[in-house]
Amino acid sequence: MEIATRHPILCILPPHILIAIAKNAATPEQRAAAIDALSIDHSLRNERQAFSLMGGLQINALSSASLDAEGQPQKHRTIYDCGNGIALPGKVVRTEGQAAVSDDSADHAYDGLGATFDFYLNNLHRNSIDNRGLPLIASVHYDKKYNNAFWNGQQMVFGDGDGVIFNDFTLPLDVIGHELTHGVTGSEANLVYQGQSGALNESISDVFGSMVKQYKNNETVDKADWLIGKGLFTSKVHGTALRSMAAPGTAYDDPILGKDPQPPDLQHYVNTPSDNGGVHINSGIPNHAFYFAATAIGGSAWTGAGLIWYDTLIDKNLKATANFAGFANLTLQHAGLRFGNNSPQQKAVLDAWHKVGVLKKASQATA
Amino acid sequence: MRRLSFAVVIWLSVLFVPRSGDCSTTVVFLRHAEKAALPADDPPLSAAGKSRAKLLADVLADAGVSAIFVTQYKRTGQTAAPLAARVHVNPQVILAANNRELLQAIRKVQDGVVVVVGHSDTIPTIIAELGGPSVVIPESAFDNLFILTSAPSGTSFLRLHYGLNSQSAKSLEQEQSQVMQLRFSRSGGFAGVATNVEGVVTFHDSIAEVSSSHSYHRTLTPTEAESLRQSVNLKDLRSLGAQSELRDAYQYELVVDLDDKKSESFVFHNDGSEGKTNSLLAWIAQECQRIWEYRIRS
Repeated sequence: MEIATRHPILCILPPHILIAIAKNAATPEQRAAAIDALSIDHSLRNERQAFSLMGGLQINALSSASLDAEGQPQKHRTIYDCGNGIALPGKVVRTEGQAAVSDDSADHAYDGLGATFDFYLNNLHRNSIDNRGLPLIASVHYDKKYNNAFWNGQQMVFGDGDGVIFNDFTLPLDVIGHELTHGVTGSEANLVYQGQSGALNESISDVFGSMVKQYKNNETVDKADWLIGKGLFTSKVHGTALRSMAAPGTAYDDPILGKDPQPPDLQHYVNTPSDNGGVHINSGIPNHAFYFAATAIGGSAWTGAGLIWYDTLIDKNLKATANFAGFANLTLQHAGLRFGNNSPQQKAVLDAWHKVGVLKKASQATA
Repeated sequence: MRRLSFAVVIWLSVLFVPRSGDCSTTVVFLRHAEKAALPADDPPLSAAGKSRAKLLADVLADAGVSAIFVTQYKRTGQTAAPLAARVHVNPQVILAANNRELLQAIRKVQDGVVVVVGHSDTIPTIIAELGGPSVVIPESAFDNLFILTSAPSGTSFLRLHYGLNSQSAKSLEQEQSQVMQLRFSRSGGFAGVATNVEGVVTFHDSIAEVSSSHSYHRTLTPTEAESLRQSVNLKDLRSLGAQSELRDAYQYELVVDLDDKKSESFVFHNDGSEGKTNSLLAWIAQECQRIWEYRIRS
């Protein structure tokens, strides 16, 4: 597209036209070009607006603290230590720009949040959780031998693990990416954490958590392991990870933990009142679809299926109560918008949803 | 109603000071207090019944009770027990069907006030045999208190009530339902099903037992059992709000089984903050952790 590369033309367009172009841009390049043009007067006001346009949806002013002198988004990480208690956030142990401290959990969390922030900014032009430079807050050493990590609506929280079955939850980068992505989803579609919309919420955290890891390791889709939480289990456990996006249901099979219960397709959807209606179980279905789409498109996940999934996540038409099929149809639309109708990418996405049984073969490629 | 019962206490203590030396006899008749549903052949008192029995001890504490008669059924003995302890009188057991023996025993009492704890079908008979009027005790009523005084000058008879009336007692009974069992589970952490834990607490008379899969078993001391039972407050549990912002936080499910065969289910999400305000949730979270520790050691 002409508009994406010809900055001089953009420069002479009035700001409201540039804003419209940025808002309606089909590709990040188009958006970036329009935003570049908007930013030439270097007024902070325009830059705030520009970055809020990246990602497209949040038009409120950015906090000036999130941008550096050149108007580039900045990380603002603060790591707290709960000291094995349950009071949040705990004591500050490391703030932005400080050198590593003598606490591996704190440093892993600091680095993991940084890697996740970079992934979103560099590949999806998203400025932090809310696309407005929200400071990143994480607490480590939560509770005693705590086998969990969670997002409480404001911050991430990580446990040390029991040391017998689970290692420190700050160890795997995709766990950190997963938790931070709960914040991203919360500031976008805010998918209701129950049943299918809840499983989509979980899956999006796995999808982007996995891509954060793949980006950090510079892995293409064929080199990625597509595992979630690899390194979280101790050597005592019969299993490689908590979840497998490539083969849901095969991540572990252990005498104490039982067998990975994730279904690979909609036919094996698990109905249960536990776990908010099985959100960590049925997330295997959309995870599997993403794996199929990403590997069929090839290259780096974040330049193919990842962009389609992100465009879908930030689309105002994605309802908080979306089910698998609603989400799937929206990914098809965005595959068409970004890569063209009947493009190989769109076909890969359609084929992926067919394989997991969410869309039926007879359905239309576009809505 | 409670205020009224205290009024009765005062009133009775004024009226029924024993007059030693004269040949009048005062007999207090009552049916046993509220009974539990099971076992059907010889049920003990329910929670409301136990409360009423304690109240009876307050009502008659200063009446000058010198003899107490009960039947072979547990519910009559339990109704008289707090009073017997208070006035230091051992209840005598006379079979419910044996009216003649009971009459003879009452007549033998020389001094003081006699208390007869019987049943809705035996009390009217014995009152009539002692020259009192005809009375009817409905199946649902447990609050009747009849006082018959025989003196050379004639017989007087009082129909009183003590404690809550039957309807109020019934609604109180529902509020005070004993917790028989707690079924709890934890799910929904980042690790999903891998960190699921479930367990059951079964309450017995004074102790309680916790069991879970992988043969986990733990007996709670009477102190721990009692404080756990007392921490079950259905009203508080109902008021716990949903934590809509939490993601990957543990989900706890709790089913409270009551002795009236009713159950109530609760779901809550824990980021630790509820534990600060609700001791039951804190206990469940802790017990789940204990079960997990046991499981990974085995």
